[in-house]
Amino acid sequence: MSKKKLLVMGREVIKNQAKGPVTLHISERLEKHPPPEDIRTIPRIIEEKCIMCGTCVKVCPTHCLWMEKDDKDNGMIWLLRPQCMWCGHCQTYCPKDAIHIDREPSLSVSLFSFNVRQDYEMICAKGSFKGEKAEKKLAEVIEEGAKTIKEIEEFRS
Amino acid sequence: MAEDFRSRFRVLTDGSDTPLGADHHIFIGPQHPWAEEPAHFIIHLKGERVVEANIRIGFNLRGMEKAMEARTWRQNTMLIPRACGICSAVHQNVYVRLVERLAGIEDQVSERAKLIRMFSCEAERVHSHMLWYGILAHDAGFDTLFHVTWRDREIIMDIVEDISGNRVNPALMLIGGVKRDLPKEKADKARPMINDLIKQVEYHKKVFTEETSIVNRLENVGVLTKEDAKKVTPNGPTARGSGLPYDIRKTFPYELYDDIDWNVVYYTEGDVLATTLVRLDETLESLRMLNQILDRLETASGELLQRVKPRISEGKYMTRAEAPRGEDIHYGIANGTDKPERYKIRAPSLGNIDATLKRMDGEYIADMPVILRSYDPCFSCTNRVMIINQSTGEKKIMGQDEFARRAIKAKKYNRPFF
Repeated sequence: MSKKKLLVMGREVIKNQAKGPVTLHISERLEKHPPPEDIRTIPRIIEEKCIMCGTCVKVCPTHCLWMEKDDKDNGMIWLLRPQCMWCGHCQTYCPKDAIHIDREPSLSVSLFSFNVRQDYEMICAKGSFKGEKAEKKLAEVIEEGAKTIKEIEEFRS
Repeated sequence: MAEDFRSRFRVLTDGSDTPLGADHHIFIGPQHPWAEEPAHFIIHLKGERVVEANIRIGFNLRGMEKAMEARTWRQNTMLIPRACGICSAVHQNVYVRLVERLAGIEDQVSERAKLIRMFSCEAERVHSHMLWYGILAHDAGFDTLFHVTWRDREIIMDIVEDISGNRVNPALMLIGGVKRDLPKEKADKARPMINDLIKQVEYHKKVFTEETSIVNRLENVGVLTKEDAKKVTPNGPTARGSGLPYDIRKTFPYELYDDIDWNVVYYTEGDVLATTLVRLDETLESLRMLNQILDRLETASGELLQRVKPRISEGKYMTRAEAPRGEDIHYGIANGTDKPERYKIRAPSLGNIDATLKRMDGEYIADMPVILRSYDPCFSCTNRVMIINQSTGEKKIMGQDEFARRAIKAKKYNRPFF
């Protein structure tokens, strides 16, 4: 090996020693490299602006939104969080700009948790549906979800 | 010409279509540590030389085209990028151009929206090519280069993430425009990163052309001459490595590719090194295009999203685009409602299989991983074909319910499905 090559290699070794490891622990990496500001997660609805037209439910590609309503002031929309793929169609096609996409990065790791209590979320409840009725419906869908998961587990075993 | 051509796709499993003169047969896949993709390669050998290599595909039918018929045109905009894990933006681009044409609004899409679409497509080409030549180095036993390229790939991934909010699936395009703007602050942030990446890719090219340990593994391996290439019809970088300068962006320009200054890269050698260099040069070309697009975005104006009615009028149309792997073709039929009547996707990997297996003829078995990798196999977008073995000549159509019932019964009583 020529002297010049050895010198080059030696320089690289010293440089890498001084620099320290390139690989970082995940927590360290998250500190140095935060998620972008425009990260996409689940939709949020501003209740005052919502007119319960149902466009978001119709355009949702994964059918993760459901709706129940009497008229434009009384109704509720709930969301199955792990089924949402954060595409933002509901935000794009909302005629009243009532929907925005949440930018909380911790929500972006919501895969199927198999804990249905966390999976379902009432994102909008208006008028007479607010309060008791919405809570009752949420408990109902959570029960249904738990039944489905039980069936899947039985089929698998 | 037709007599010379023998398709490499095989359906029979009894070995009756084995070529003459082969004494050993090696089977690779559908599950194999080398390949992430579900394909069954059958390699017939005489001694250490390959006589013929065949393939069976169709292990992973996902039924996406059927699923699209049950969803509206708007919903399908978000389903179609899932056709491929890496080239998602290109599939979405082809789809939205098809629907815009059917709706008759293809002239109304603004310049700014077109430029943002192009940015997304080119950024995707860069990260797809970098991923591919990293894995090629890994297959050739040069793991250092694999780690170096994948480290540098993070730069372009960060740019994509910053602009779209997602790392791999930007999903920026919509029927009639784009979803998000690319503001000036983000462009200013991206420009130095792109320039850094250009330097890094030039370094990768230097390694691929000067480092003897990798050049010896790739040079004069799996040569596909121009005459052979014309018979087996490869597309994309596989064709451009064999001296066929055919690029959809140049031959049938879409978006604003004819307004931007760039060159088609092609090599005439036809070996695996030539396809690698095509992709390396194309990465550099795409990075320079990204800089040009960012410059043009400063002055380009126009509305981001045009209003399109959910119902698409009757008609049928075909669009195509240059995906990182080759030519991507979509064909759609609209019936006047808000859902497609029929939709068909021809992904680029399918067109490249015959050409790549042709490369294997007369090569050593030890070069097999490199040659099979050379066309960037991506079966998640190829496997949309179901082959039914009709050895008895019997045909049976099974509905979804019966299929599910049979599956459950087979599971319950522990007996075979058919």
